[in-house]
Amino acid sequence: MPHQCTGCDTVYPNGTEEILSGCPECGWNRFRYILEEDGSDKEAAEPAGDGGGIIGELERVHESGAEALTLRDGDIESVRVLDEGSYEINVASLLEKEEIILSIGEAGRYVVHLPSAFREKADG
Amino acid sequence: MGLLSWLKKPTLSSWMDSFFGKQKASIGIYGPPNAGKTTLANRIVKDLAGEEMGPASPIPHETRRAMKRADLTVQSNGASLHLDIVDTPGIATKIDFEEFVTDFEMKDEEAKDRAKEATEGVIEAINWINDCDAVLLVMDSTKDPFNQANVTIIGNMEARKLPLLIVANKTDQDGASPQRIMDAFPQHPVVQTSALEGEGIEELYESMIHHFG
Ligand SMILES: Nc1nc2c(ncn2[C@@H]2O[C@H](COP(=O)(O)OP(=O)(O)O)[C@@H](O)[C@H]2O)c(=O)[nH]1
Ligand SMILES: [Mg+2]
Repeated sequence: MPHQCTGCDTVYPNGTEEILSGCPECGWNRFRYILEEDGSDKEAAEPAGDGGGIIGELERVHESGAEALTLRDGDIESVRVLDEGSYEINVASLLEKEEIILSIGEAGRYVVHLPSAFREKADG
Repeated sequence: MGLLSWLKKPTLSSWMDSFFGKQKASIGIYGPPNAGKTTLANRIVKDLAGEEMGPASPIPHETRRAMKRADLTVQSNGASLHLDIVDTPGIATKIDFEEFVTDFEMKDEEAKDRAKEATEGVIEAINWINDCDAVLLVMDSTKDPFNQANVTIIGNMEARKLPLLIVANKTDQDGASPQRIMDAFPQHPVVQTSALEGEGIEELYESMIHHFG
């Protein structure tokens, strides 16, 4: 695996020895792994997923009134929208369940987001 | 349902594959809002690659999307670990826009958007656990570590058999008590850091190689 010293930028085509013993050029001991195809455009941090927007999406479903559901036995809300901009999150339910169940307002209308759709979105 | 879906999540064997097959670990940085996750991620990425990951902020929920920085190599005492770092939004049980309005003088509209994005961020963070081989769970040492979110996350990661290293951060602050974190979660290794001042980072690398490598 090619590595580049982050101190002096010297590239070592293999790099296994240098990363263990330090850079022979400058003595620095931090190295960056370089992708063989292209190291250049992979350097910046990028959004890890393309997720996001799910609450807004569920709220729009709710506003349309079309797909509001009532809870079945055993269903647990993942996110409760108490009021606009105010959310209560059931971390355990999000960790354990695949589906996301949103409850909105006092009236307790529910919208269910199915896991397949969410995974697709989140994985881009 | 819960059990069935857990079977599909990473098991110990898929975790071993990721080290002995791919030779690369995807490490998620998790924890409550404002614990110093982004500051730590920046510290690590800067150290290993000379760049920053994203903006840290005193306002909670600054990071509302998971951010990934791929292909870093950390080495310490003749051992090395090849890894990806994922900085995640803070996991909270309640997010209210009023907090941003009263504490940070944000306009209602902006605060409500931020609250919504932060809530979506929690979902995204949790969704990303499936793609992690190991987790750094960052906590603010000045705060009580024994809260619902921390306990729930740790319990779930134990069930997934995800290797977990707790980072007791902000040790530079008055009233910091890493010991309180060690006492709360004695079953997990704890590393003490000040991500802001760069204290304990070498020890963190050593621990990562030891526990994740
Ligand atoms: N004193 C101190 N402050 C820190 C430390 N790490 C982060 N902070 C501060 O805590 C605030 C939140 O940090 P950030 O990295 O955005 O937290 P995140 O929400 O977990 O990503 C910022 O004002 C940071 O400067 C630390 O080790 N010591
Ligand atoms: Mg952050």
